[in-house]
Amino acid sequence: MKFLIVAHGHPDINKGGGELAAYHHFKGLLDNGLDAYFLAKAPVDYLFSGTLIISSYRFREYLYYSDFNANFFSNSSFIKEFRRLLDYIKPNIIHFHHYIFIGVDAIYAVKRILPDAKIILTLHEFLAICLRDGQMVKTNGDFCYRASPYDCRKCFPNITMEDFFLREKYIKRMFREVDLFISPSNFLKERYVMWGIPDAKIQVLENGIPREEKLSPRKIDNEKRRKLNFSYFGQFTPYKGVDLIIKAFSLLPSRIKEKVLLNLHGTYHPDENYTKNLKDLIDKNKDIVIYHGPYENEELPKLMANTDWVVLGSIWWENSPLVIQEAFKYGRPVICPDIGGMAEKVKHGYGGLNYRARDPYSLRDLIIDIAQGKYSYDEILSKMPKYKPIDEFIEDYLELVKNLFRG
Amino acid sequence: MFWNTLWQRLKGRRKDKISPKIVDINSGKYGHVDIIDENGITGWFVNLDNSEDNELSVYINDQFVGKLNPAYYRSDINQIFRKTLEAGFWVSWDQLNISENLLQKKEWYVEVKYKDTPITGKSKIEENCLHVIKSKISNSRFESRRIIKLNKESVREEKLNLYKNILSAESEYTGFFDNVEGLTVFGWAFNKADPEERVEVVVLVDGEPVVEGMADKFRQDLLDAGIGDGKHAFEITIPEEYADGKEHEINIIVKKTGKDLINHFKVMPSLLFINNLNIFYKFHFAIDECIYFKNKGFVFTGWFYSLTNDKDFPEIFIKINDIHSKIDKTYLYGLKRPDVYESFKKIYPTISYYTGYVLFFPFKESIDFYKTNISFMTKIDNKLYEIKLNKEIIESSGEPYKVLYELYKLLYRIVRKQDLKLFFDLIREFLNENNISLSKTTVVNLNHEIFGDIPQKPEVSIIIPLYGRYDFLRHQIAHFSEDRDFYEGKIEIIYVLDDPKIIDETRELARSTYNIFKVPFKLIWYNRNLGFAGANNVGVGMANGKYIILMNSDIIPEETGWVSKLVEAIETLPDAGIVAPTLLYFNGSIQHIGMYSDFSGDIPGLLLNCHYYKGYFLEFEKLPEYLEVPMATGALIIIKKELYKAVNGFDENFIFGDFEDSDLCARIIEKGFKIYVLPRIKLYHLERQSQKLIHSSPNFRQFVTLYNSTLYTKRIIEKGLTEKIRRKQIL
Repeated sequence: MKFLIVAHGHPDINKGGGELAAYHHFKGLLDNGLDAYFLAKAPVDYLFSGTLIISSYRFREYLYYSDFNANFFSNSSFIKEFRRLLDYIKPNIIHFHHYIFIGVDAIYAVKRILPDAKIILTLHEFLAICLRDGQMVKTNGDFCYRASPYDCRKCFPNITMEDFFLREKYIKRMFREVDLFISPSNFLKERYVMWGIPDAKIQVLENGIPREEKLSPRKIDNEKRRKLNFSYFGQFTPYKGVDLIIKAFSLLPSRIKEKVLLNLHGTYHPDENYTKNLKDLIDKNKDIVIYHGPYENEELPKLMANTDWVVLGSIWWENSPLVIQEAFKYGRPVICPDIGGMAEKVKHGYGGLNYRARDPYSLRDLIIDIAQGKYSYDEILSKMPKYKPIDEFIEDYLELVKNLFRG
Repeated sequence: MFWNTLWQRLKGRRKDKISPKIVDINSGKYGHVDIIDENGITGWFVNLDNSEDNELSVYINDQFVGKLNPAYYRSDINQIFRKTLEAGFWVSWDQLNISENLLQKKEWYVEVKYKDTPITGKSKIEENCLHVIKSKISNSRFESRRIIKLNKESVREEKLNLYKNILSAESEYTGFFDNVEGLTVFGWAFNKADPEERVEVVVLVDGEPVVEGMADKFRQDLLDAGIGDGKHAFEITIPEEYADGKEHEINIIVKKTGKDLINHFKVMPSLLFINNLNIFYKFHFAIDECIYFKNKGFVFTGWFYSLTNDKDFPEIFIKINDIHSKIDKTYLYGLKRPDVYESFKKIYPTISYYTGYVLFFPFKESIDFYKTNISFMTKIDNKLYEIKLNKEIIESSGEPYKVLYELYKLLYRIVRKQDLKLFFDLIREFLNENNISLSKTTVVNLNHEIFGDIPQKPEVSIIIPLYGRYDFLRHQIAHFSEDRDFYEGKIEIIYVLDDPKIIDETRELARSTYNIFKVPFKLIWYNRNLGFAGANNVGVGMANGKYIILMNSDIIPEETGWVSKLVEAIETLPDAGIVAPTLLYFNGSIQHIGMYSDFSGDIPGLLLNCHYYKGYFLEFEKLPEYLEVPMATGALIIIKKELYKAVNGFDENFIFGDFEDSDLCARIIEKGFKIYVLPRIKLYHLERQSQKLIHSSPNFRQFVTLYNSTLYTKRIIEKGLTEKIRRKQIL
């Protein structure tokens, strides 16, 4: 059995949750002694000059370059190169973690080139359903509950209802070539089922992460001088709501401010305007906010050890944020909005605490309550959900694959 | 004696009038006078007992003034009686024989009578309306010797790519001074930095500010050109004192900046030419615009007024490179010119609203307009006078739809709707398109590329014209790729690219589409835009199938197997000439499940196409397997190739894909075949997508529809098919 894992980025190059999940998946298969290959998008300077679109990076790892946002039509020369790679590897399973940058119809090309192979697609966000980066957040900022040509046109007045219909029809046509969808959350699955993917075709399977020991709770050197450490991990994109978290902290009364600290770990977003505002916001609140800069995955245990609470601020639904899994693994409770994939993983008191999504005052109140000792940290720690170790993920995954070939 | 007379009169009054109150839709006489205004008398009358016997008499104050016959179709009347009737009538005042005696009368009481029985409806004329009517009548009768003096007014400078150039200019205020007509100046002004601003402008006459105005009127062409919300036009009237027969320079400046709008004029506002000899020899002859259509001829518009006789157009000669030709007045068409009327009504109290003209001048020889000397001559007292023509050119190719578009831009605001029929006939004659077939006569260099192994002896050829949206090809092929029918060597797909602007992009997309889906197809292209009919005819010319499916590019199947089901239907249904599937809008409601024509809409006597159950949701499972319908839309039909060729395919005289399908159906019906729709075979038709591309202006679309409809209606009536193509109950 040969596997080809296709991702929209390599975690060496892009530090996103989706990229990491795909790479863990690939590594997990290798660790189980399976024949697996990895193909990810990379910037053009990673490719050898004069080489073709797909060139090798490491043994079993390939990179491709795509200079266009081809989440719709694929590029003819990419397909040509892809074909060459498929002919060479001859995988039995082609597992897409994404089709953005490749084109949704590449799925069909794979099916035609290797008719006996099975195609699996991991759903990471609502990319097929929502033209707005798959976020299901309207251009006016409102939450979106379902897509339809009538409503989508309101977000994109220059695109006609008929074009939204064509788009949907085209993607669904290609999705009919997919043998199995994997959704890391029930929430995401429900949205795709509502959109029209048959229920039986989507399996819910949480992304796996490497097994590691739980960390003991943060050491207390001097109870009186100790500040509660809240940490944010991840990219500082507008959808992630880092600004909302800072705002909540800035609204704290000064007697609480003395007791808390917000640590920001991650990389800024390319949107200069957003980044500038964010930097200004951090600067204004430097008494309680510290920006620590980007981090490597290997540093995570150390950073988590210094954390009491992991905090999320996302203003979109989220699917199954990897950082929640990481927090569970290291035994750190999570404070997150009460919507979508986040609310599914973290229920108030179980795995952490929820606040009202998009409401900095609600987060502020929650932090005040925590600082004043209204919640028992130990009790929450005792009710932490399990995370999905990669070996368990692979086990479940292989079971699904087996069924696929059986069916 | 006295009693006798009174009795007679009472009897006359008591005698029942003919009214619209219907007792029986199959017999009797009904009618009504709807409107009496400055244009004439409008109404309707039917004699159901003998439709030939419908002559009516018009009386004013009991004086007989003329006869008339109802001659127009009226959809409302047709609906009432559920049959096609020539019920409508219209008579203009100058067609009536109104005596001097009546012109003296202060009140008019108008009656329309069938035999001796008057028709109900309006009869008294408002006093001010009567005034207009009287002046019209007396004006048309004013007879005298004629001398013509001519002049070119309303000079405009050339404006190629005008809006574009202006918008790229550096100043934040931009605009254009379009025209001076009479005492009114026209143009537009716009603030690029603040598109919301309604710009204030000042009119300078000979450098002096004279009047101010606001550029806030809506103009479709501005909106189309992307200038704000289109509400940036101005129309400002200059004080009458400048109508002094002298030449004045007119500039328009933006009030805030004091800067000129582009273009300025040296004109004589409300120019009045007075012949020295006699006050009665006064004429205006203005040429506003001249459009040259390659290999077709010229179209002139302007206005003409003679104080002595404004009915007859002067004898005019056109001189093109020293060749004189007399202008044939059969190509002349009168128009409404409210601007001229407003400017001159004080000077000439009798001037009518209809001083405008359009003049068609066929000229087949190919010339370079810019290098050609063109001038007008007129004969006055056997002496030729030259009229200088300032070159106002919109050079246009001779493609019919472009001709129509130019004419539309020129005329749509001034042609009376009820006169469009006549006007279109003139255009058609001018275009000389009675046997036009661009696909046969003008297509050279037909290119094609074959992707994959297309079957040598296909059962069916699917012809799909592409225009503008070439990405539809990818969508269609992606959906075809899911259907076994397309892998059995029975279907030949032919895409006909009818859009030379996008040849490279389309070929590239075709190649990559084939690389992914491997569904074989043929792509044909050529260096013309032939329109829907022409593109299909080219495609059929290349088709090898026994049957052809004509399909729009914006149709995608709802399920598989539709091709074989269409083939089965055309082979087995009795006398099947054309079979069509059901077409759905994207939300699943009916776009097409059969079609019929009806006399409806604004213009009497024109057939328009109507779709059964358009926009309805139907329970398809409960419908029969097939329905016989009057007609089917050309968006997707199957027909035997032999039959298509036997009736000469789509008629390319129609423009834009509008009536060629119903016209084709009519010719198929004429041969004794039937048209069917299969309610259970469904495809999506994203109708608005392709139509939207052609021209954004809905007015132009309507203009074209009416143009096509006149031709279609004429054919249907000639063939006597009116009943066959009309609505029948299908479900």
